[in-house]
Order: sequence, then structure tokens, then C-alpha cells
Amino acid sequence: MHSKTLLALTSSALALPGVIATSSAKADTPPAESVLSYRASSYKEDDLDASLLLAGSAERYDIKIHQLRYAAPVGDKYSFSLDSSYESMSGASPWYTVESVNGDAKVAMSGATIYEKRRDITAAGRRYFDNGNLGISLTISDENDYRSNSLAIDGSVTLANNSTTIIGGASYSDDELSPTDALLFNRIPSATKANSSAFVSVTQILNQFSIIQSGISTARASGFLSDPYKLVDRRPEERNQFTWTTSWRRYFRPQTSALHANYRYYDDDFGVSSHTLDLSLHKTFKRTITVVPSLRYYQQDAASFFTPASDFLQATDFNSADFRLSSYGALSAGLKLNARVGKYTFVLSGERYRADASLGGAGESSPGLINFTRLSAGIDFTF
Amino acid sequence: MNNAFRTVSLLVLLCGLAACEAVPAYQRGDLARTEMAFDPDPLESRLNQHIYFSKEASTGGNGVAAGGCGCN
Amino acid sequence: MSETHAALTLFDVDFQAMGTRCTISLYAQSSEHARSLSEAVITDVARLESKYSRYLPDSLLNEINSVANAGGAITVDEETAALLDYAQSCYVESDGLFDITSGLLRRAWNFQPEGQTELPDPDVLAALLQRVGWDKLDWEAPLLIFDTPGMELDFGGVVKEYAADRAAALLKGAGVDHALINLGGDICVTGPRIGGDPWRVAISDPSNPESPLRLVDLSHGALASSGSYARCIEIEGIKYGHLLNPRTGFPFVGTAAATVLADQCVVAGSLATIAMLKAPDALQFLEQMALPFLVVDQNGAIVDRLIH
Repeated sequence: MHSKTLLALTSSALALPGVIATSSAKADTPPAESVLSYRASSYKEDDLDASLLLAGSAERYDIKIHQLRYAAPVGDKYSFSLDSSYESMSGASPWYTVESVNGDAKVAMSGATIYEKRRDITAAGRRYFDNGNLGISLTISDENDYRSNSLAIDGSVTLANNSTTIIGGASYSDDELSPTDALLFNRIPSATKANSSAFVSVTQILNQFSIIQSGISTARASGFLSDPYKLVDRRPEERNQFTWTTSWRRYFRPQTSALHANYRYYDDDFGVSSHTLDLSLHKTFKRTITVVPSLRYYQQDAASFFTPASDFLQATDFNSADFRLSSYGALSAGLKLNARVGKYTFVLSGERYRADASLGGAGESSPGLINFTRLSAGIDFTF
Repeated sequence: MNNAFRTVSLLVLLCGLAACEAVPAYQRGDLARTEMAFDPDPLESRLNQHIYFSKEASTGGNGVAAGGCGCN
Repeated sequence: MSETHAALTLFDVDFQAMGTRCTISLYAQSSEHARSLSEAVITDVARLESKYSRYLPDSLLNEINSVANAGGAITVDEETAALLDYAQSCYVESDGLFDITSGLLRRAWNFQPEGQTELPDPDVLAALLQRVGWDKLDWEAPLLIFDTPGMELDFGGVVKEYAADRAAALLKGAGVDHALINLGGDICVTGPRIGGDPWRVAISDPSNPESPLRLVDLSHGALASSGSYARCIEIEGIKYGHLLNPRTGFPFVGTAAATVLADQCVVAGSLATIAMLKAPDALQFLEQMALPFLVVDQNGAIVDRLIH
């Protein structure tokens, strides 16, 4: 008859590494727990300023997104994840832009409220090795006027020093457009585009508290890259993109906080180049509550063929009045709150995004810039 | 400008390897924290990538690209 | 059996670690062979010392203690997490008497010979007690949170015993079935001596550490002791040992030394320490464990339950 005390101490002692079995070498392993997550998000674009409105509805998109994710280990060498989302939107979007008599650009919005739905699903699997892992994922995105199938592979290798990890991957997507009311509005009835991309990055442990990741990527889109719903929009049939991204993480022990800084440089042969900088601070209170304030700064140059007013005369040359190809900058601020209660984590987050022509880089700006507010709520269940 | 950026980015990649110290396994606890991950909240980063993709000309730089959509 | 081992001789490999004299006794063909077999153990003990020593400024323990002092959180590795879990078990099983945060109380006492002739100032003790208590920590592996600044951890009474257990497992893993590891009185054997005879281990006398009090036979498992062998002071005719009660800040009076035999050295060591802390109930506590033990009280009276 052994005492409870002796049993308790003995079992704790046997849990000490190396007291019974010799410990084996550490290999890359799948996450230990399964997680089921749900998020509901809503974001609303601000109404177009009435002074800029030429025709149509000033009310822009109101979008609701539901996301569901399940990720789980399968044995000790594999993991599996399933991501799906359902998005519904209603509102109007810019149709064309004209220059008014006094020289200001004005936006004509699509007349009636548009209702759209989008569904996507991604299935991914990963195999873990002694010093790395290899993953594959398949994504299908479906809308009434757009369908995209894509395949991606990626892998990582940790070098012998155990401080450096090299990550690389490639993806290919095959997209099909079938714009609605093509005959009525003289839109292209159907078109295709393809997108291929590759990236490589290096993750390096700098010291006990900081880690950095830097990488480059290239992507090539080809096919019908214009916006079929704009009255006038003609873009090249090929677009080559390049990014350089650097991410840095630093942990501050006394503050129980992690600082994230990410920078991305982007350019493409449409003539767009951009800088994105985001900063966030992940502050944990009493191990259960995490508060994450964040700031993001974005600035882009206009595409070489961007025109503030839709160019009806030069409709055969490349031209687009899409505000997304204009010169502008954007600032956004966000706040996220995570609260863990046992196996559940409740998540609340919000973001305010403001675009401003005066923050832009080279090139002309557009009157159709977007501001939006996003709110998300969700729950993670870990088991 | 573009070529300069490409050169700088490659140099930073290479220099990054040299400027570090060996951290023993038992001192890597803080680095392994969830909030220190490069992608601590995959659902939120998916959502953000999707939203920014639909609002901005730039895309990429977040690992392998997700599928396309009609929003851009 | 003896034929196959005819060429083997018993060697003692001595080394200094964790502030004490250590010996590995094993059978080998030559002293070089004995040395090379011991190398892994010596390296591992040195590793644990550099990680958990209070005296080495670069140790992980001092890093943890700088967080403990300032307040904040630290994420620890698996080994440290397992040691903290073990310390938590000790705290729970001793009803809060075995507490790795109690080392701070030593600041009010000086256990060097002739170190102290008066009792500490109650105000000083009370202030220190504010910063002592495992229950003031928020521990959930792998994150250790210090909400109360000014605290301090001390793995004394755990790490040396753990090192002895690891040493035995390392040697056993290398096929050494007849070895004894002695880390300053924390003793583990991988099996009996060649030929099947047990090892003879001396338990020293608390009042005279150089003279053996008892010889105990050890064929498997471990032995560890706790007591005022070295550090003890006398104030107003009362002998105070260096083990302090985390609730009162005062040393325990009554038991001078306890030795326990168990399968793991770390368990033997903490049971011996808890027994000391439980004085005057040390005997009753150890009897419940149903393990061989020996207790010496303040007056030199011996209770010998080694033959179990």
C-alpha cells in the first residue's frame, strides 16, 4: 500500500526528462491539438461623398463573411486543415468616372443594388519530417460570375544550426469569368485568367527574444485582367509582380508583450509599386486575455495606364479608372481582443481603414477611394 | 528603383544569416509563444488578405497565394 | 557471472560539481575506460549546474529570477517545466511546506558558523514573507507568471537529486548495470555491484559529518538525505537548522536529519526534506510512505527504519 503522496511525487519525478527513458531527438511535428474556429465578420464601405457622385447609388458595399476552420493532427507525422468561407455582399460599385465641367472627376455608380455571394473552400495536408515539412493545398472559390481553382505546395527545411529555416512554395490558379448581363451591357461574356506564383523566404532566430523572416515572391497573371463591369477598362493581358517582405517579432518579458512589425515592398509591370508597413502589439494579461492594437500604413503609385476619368475616346489603348490602380495611401487602425476560457477562446476585433489621395505615391489619384469599417467576432475551440 | 529594391532585399536575406547568436533550446520558450508566431491567427490573416486584395493593387508576400476571386 | 567480468576492476571517478564532491563508481577495464563512461554523466551534471545554479550569473535560474524580481512572465523549456511541475507536486503534497520560493527567507538568517547570535527582526521577516509562496505564482506550463515582484526561485533540494537520477539513467542506457553515482550525498545506483553484492553507503552523523552513523546496503534505487549536517546555528540555547518554514520564516526545530531510500533520488530527497519540514511529525509522515528511512532528532536520538 503506497501513500498518495509517494504516488504523486513518483509520477511527477518520472515525468522529468531523462529519469527513465533517454530522450529522442526533436523532429518537426504537427500541432498537438485540434482546433475548430468560427468567425463572423461584417465590413461596410463608407458611402461615396455626394459631391463626387454623378449617377447611381452613393451606397457602396456592405459585406458579411462567415469563416470556418478545422485543423487537426493526423498521427504524429501529418496534419490536415479545412478552411471555408461564405461571403455575401450588397451595394453598388463604381461603373465609370468622368471629368466634370470644373475639372473634378465624378463617379457614376452602378445603378441598382448588386447582390453577390461567394463561397470558397481550402483543403490542406502537411507531412512533417525530422527537419522540416511539406504541404499541399487545394482551393475552390465560387461566385455566380467567377470561379477559381488553385493548387499550392510549400515546404520548409530547418538547417543544422537549428536557428535558420528556409521556406519555399509555389501556387497556380485557373480562373474563369462569366460576367452577368453581358449582352445587355456589352460586357465580355466569358474569359479566363491564370495566376502562378513562387516564393522563398528565410526565418532566422536572432536571439532569445527576436526572430526575423525575409522573403521574396514573384507572380505572373495572364489572360483577361480587365474589370468586365467597368464601362471602360482595358488592361494588359499579362502582369508580373514582385514582392519583398520582412517580418520581425520581438518578445518583451516584463510587459508580457510581443511586438510584430511587417514590411512589404511590391511592384509590377502595370507600373504599380507600393510600400506596406504594419505594426501590432500583442499584450497578454494573466495568460488568458490578449489585447492587440495595430496600425497599418499603405502607399501605392498609380498604374502607368491609370486615368482619373474614364477615357471613352482612347478605349482601344490600355486605360483604367479603377481607383485601385490610382495613386493613394491608406491608414488603418485595428484592435483585437482574445479571451481564453478553458478550451474556448473568444475573439472580437475591429478595424477602421481610411484611404487618402494625399498619402499616395507617384501618379494621379481617383475620386472613388474607399474607407471601410470591419467588425469581427468569433470563437476557437481547442481539443 | 525596382532593381535597387531587388538587390537590397537579397542582401538583407543574406546578411540576416550572419547577424545572429546561437540560442540554446531551453531559451527558446518565448520565441515559441503563440503571439510570437508569424501568423498567430490564420483566419484573421486570410480575411485581411482577402479584403486588402479587393481594395488595393498589391498582392502577395504572405506565403503561397490563396485562390483568386472576382473582387479584383 | 564473475568469470565474464574477471577483467573488470572497480574505479572511482571523482569530480567536483554543484558545489560538492561527486563520485561515480563503476566497473571498467581501465581507468581511461571508466573516465570515458563517466564523461557523459559529468557533462550532464555540469549542464544542469550551469542551467540551474544560483551562483552562476548566466544561468537560466538567474534569468528566471530576474523576471521574478521585476515581475512579468517567462516561457520555460520542457525540462524546467517538468521541474516546476515536480516542485508544485512537492508543494501540494507537503501542504505548502516544501516551497521553492522560500529561499528568499535566508536573507534574514545567517547560517555560517557563528553567523548569528540573535533572532531576525520580525519586520524584516514579515516583509520577506510577503514575497514568498508558491501560490503567489501563476504556473501553467510553459508560461510562468510572477504577479508579485521581488520573488525568487531556488531549485536546491531538487536539481542535484534530479541530476543523480539522470546520471543513473544515462549509465544504464549505456549498458552500465553496476554503478553508483554519489553527488554529495545524493546517491543513485544502476544495480548491485558485480557479483550481486549491494553497495555499502555511509549515512553520516548530523553532529559529526565525518563519522558514519550507519552503513546502508543499496542494490537498486536511490538514497538522499536532508538535514543540518553542515549549516546550523545556536541562538539562546536552541539549535536552528537551515530549512525554513515558508509560513513563519523560522527554521524547523526538532529533527536534525532525515535519510530516505526510494526508487528515484529526487523523490527520496524531497521526502527527506518534507519530513524535516514536518517536524515534529517527521516520523509519522515517513511511516506513511512505507519506505526505508532514518531520522535523527535534535538530541541525537536515532530512529532507524532502514531495514524495511
